[in-house]
Amino acid sequence: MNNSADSSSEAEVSSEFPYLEDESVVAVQRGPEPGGLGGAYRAFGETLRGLKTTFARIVEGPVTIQYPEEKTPVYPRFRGRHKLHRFEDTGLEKCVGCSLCAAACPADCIRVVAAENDPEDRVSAGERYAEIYEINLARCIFCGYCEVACPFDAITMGHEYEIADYNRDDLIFTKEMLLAEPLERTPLRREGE
Amino acid sequence: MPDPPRITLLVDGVEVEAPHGAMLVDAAKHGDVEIPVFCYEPKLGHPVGACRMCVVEIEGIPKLQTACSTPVRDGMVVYTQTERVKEAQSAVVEFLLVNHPLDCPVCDKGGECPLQDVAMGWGPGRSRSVDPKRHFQKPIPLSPLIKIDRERCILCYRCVRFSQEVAEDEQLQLLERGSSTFVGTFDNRPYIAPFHGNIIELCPVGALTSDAYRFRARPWDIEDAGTVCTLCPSQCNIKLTVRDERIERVLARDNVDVDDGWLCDKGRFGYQMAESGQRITEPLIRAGGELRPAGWAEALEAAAAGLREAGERTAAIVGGSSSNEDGYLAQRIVRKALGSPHVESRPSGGPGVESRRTGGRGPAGFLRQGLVELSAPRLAASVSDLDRAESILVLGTDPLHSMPILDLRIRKAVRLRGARLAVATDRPSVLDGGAEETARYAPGFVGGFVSALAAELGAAGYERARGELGADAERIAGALKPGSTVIVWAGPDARGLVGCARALRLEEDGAGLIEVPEGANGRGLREVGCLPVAGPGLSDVEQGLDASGIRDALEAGSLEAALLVNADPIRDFAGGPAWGEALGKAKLVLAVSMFEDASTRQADVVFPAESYAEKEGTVTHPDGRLQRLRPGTPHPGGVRPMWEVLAELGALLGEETGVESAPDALAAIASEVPFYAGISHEEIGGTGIRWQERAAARYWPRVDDVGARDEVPGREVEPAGRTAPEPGDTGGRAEDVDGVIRVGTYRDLWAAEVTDRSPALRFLAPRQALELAPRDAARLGLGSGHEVEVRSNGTSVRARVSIHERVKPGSGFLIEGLGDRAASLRGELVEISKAGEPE
Amino acid sequence: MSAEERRRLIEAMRPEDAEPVPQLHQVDVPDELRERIEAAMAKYPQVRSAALPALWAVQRHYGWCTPEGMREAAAVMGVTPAYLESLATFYDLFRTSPVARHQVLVCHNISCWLRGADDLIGALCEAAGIDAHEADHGGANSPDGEVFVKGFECMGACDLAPMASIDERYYGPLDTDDARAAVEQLRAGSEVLPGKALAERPAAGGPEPDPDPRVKEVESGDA
Repeated sequence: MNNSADSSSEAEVSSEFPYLEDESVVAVQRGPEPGGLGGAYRAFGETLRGLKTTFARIVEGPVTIQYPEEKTPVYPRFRGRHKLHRFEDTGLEKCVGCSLCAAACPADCIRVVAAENDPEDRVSAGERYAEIYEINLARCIFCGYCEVACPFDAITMGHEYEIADYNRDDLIFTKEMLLAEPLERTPLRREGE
Repeated sequence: MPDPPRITLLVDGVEVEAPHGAMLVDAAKHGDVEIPVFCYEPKLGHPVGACRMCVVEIEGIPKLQTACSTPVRDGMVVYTQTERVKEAQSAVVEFLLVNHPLDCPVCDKGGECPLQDVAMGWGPGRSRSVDPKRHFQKPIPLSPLIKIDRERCILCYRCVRFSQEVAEDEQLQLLERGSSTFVGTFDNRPYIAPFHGNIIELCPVGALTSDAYRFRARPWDIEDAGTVCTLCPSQCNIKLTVRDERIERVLARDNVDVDDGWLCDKGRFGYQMAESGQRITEPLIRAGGELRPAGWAEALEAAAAGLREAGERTAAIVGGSSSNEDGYLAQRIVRKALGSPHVESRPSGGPGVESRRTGGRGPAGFLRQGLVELSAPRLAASVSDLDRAESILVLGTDPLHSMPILDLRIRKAVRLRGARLAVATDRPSVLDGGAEETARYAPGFVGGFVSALAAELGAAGYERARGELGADAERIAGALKPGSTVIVWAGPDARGLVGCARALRLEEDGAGLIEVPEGANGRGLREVGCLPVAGPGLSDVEQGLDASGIRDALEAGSLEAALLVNADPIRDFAGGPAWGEALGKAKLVLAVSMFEDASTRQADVVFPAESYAEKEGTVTHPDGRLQRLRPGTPHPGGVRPMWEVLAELGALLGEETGVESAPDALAAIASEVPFYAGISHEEIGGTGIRWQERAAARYWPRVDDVGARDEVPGREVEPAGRTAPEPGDTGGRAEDVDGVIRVGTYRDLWAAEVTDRSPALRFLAPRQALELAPRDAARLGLGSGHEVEVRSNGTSVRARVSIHERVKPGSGFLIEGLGDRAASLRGELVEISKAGEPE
Repeated sequence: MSAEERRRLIEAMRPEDAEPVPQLHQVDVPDELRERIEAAMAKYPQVRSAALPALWAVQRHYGWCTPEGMREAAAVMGVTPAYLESLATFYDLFRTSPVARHQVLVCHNISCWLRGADDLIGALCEAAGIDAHEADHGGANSPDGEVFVKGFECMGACDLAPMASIDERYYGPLDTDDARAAVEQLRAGSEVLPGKALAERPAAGGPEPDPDPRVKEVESGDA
């Protein structure tokens, strides 16, 4: 580049964009001015597209679930509040108080205190049974590890999810509470639903 | 002992350096190679190679070898991971599991079970066996403390080996043969022996389970807390299993210098005392004849006011379970704040027992001299010296009752190394069976025997005894090897023993004396100043009254206040019930106690005591090892650390100790006891440290500084009674008098508060029994189980007759510590009359 | 066992029920038994070596190793009765339960079994009124207390197969008729199976065979 050409172009640029030193800045290309048909489309086009879905569904009727009166069905493998089980034939507790669930629990929310069975008046089928079985549901993260760890299928995750309470102490579920059937069963989602 | 030379071997291609003679299993650990084992347990003595789990391949040997029983050699090439080894190990596991039930979730061992671990790590994962497994009735009680589940037993022999080779009671045996073999006892009787709880810990499966711990907790539910058991002078290192802030179990914490990894049943099940619901958990003040709960401030003020009033007319009795800190602070309050010299910790006087002759008012220098000479670091043997000594003398004590773990240690020395054991006691000892020589002297005549022994050993200034005594002493002396003897002794007269020690050159390495004190921390309390004749560090102090002197002075009214720190003199001290009368006359009795007992019934102020599981502090083992007590469970209710309470009480009485923490209390001790100088909790650490091995040991007082020596061994100690035996009289004289026997007493292992307070041990509580030789029983027309009344000096004790072959004719023995007057009979001639037929 | 039963069992256990080495004054050892045991003890440097002869002595004296007998032997020897019981239960020739007057041990190991040991046991048991299966697996007494039959492992007399040891004497080879005869003879107390005893066989030192004429010749020739 020679000196004379340089000086002439410099003068031109500086007059229109005094702060620009070279052509590294690209000017933004603006759209057409607001107003007109194009403007109306831009304002309502997307809304109408949404409304198209709305109007299309109106014929299906409302799908709102009236929650406390009506419950959301859960999937069969939903992990809700735990349940302890008894043998159906003998009525004995399946839990032998081995504490493996407590060992597996990552939230450390299970406490098991075992005791020895009296063969004349059995609580469980084995030599030992759980004298105290407590789950602190305020701590439980519903991971289901306890269910996996249990060698006797004594504990399973139920479908109950309404376990809110006013008092944290009330969230410590005892063995009797866990053995009892939940009062109101949570509806189960049907196959393919 | 010099370390064995180290050799090099190749394990799985890795060079491993190991001591020569080590077993391959142990040597491999130096190279981080784990070889699985079941039956191998070095504590049980020689390996047996019974389970075949540890097979390895050794180059040059065609067959697989058991690593547990193969000593390493230089250049040995070992493979532990070859296909052949793996196949064999997996086959062994499969074989063991053929009859082992799969009831891990129910089994108490689950989670801490070596069989689980080995099956997981080396097992085949599945069993090919389809046949039914062995069945037994289960679980059945093997003893009131242990249940046995024979289905789970893998016949590793560990429990049987323990019974045969460690405890040597041989009650547990393998019965039947082959696949019918099971562990059992004669005629299905219970297996009851003082150490039998160890088999629970030894069992590698859940076949032997503790009845008290059954189903209480899983390994992941619990925390371990290491501390020291202070139920007897053995001071075994223990591990408390704590769940939900409660002690559920006690396990051994192996310390080869203290307990060799064993525990007695008292230590193993005595934790229940600490968990008893009957404990005193808040201070009590007597108001209107009744003890009522009070706050600490009120109780401390009441105690301080009473002590202030009594001033120098106060005496302190410090019980054997107190820590050094408790004892130190208690004596400091009594000596410095109240100006009283009367501090005692020995139920019956201890060494220098002559004080009884002078009523505790003899020259202090002489009594201290005995202590200083016999406890000198030069003459001290450590417990592990028993593993090296060529001969052992047990003198005047039965370790099974006084320091149980020592009993196992002595048996081990005899069994594994052929150490020569001599036993010289008044009462037959359980060690007699393994002893090369035994001698029986008449009860209360230990001083005479020791002098005779010193003479036979050639000590200067002693005259040889005549007759049976002389012959006995000669036999015992012949069994002892100068320069390599450890003498385990209790209670005899000091001077004769000094002569024996000199003649036997006990100052040499691996030889020495181990004194079994009466209290669990008897030695520590003595060294921190809980003696009427010596202050902290056995320093010179104004001489106070000993235990019986204190009792008499309380009775006479010349002492007005008594401070009982973890002590129940009515139960534990000579005189027994006489203490009740003495304490009843005192104006103030301040008792520090865990339970309401005979002594607190006389107390005006009671402070709740800590159990050893809650205590923080130090204790001193009879061989001089300082050990730490660490709190494992929180203090129940209003119980506070005793050092804190005593420091506050001191402050109220104007003695500012400056002790604000347990380490402070230890520092205060270290500043006053010269030979403990500079010791700290960190230095004591987990396994303790013997003060004799520290540089500060040179501050042990010099004998010459302690007062004039009485060079003439004159008449030896007299027993308490009026009818003391003559030297040379071994009790034969008693036979001449119809119905008269010389009676001694002994402290039975189970005659202790812990037996009554621990539900598991309660069945062991002894009943008063008069042990007689068969000949005497026949002469007196008595049979086993007869009720008799034993009378002497206006004292009368009722007992049942128990006939014992090895009792010396003319002697009889009663049990101390049962709350009757037995303990005031020591070597006295008594009259025995029949009071009833056997039940 | 119910918890209550177990509790009662535990409560009944007293420290004095444990069985350490019994003392001599606690047992009443018959003199004859004591002499035999002491004689056995004198033969060996280690007391324990005399355990088997001592148990034999007990079994001879009482018919079987009674707990009381083992206690007595233990007291004489200074060992625990448990030690003796472990030996007595290990060895098949020691009886640890009451046993009938006459003992018949029938070999059911390979040689005898091949030659009809099962039938022999069956015939013996039928004659004595014993359950054969029970007799073959651990032994059983006849209801009248006269005969005890037990299937036994090889007694080293395979040349007599099928054989049996009757009151510690070997007999064989036996058939089912011999079995019936033996039971009757045992009950009657008469001589058992004359001619069938091993001891009566010449090779076993039985009756002298006729002297070899050649020996006579040589002897006479020498003379």
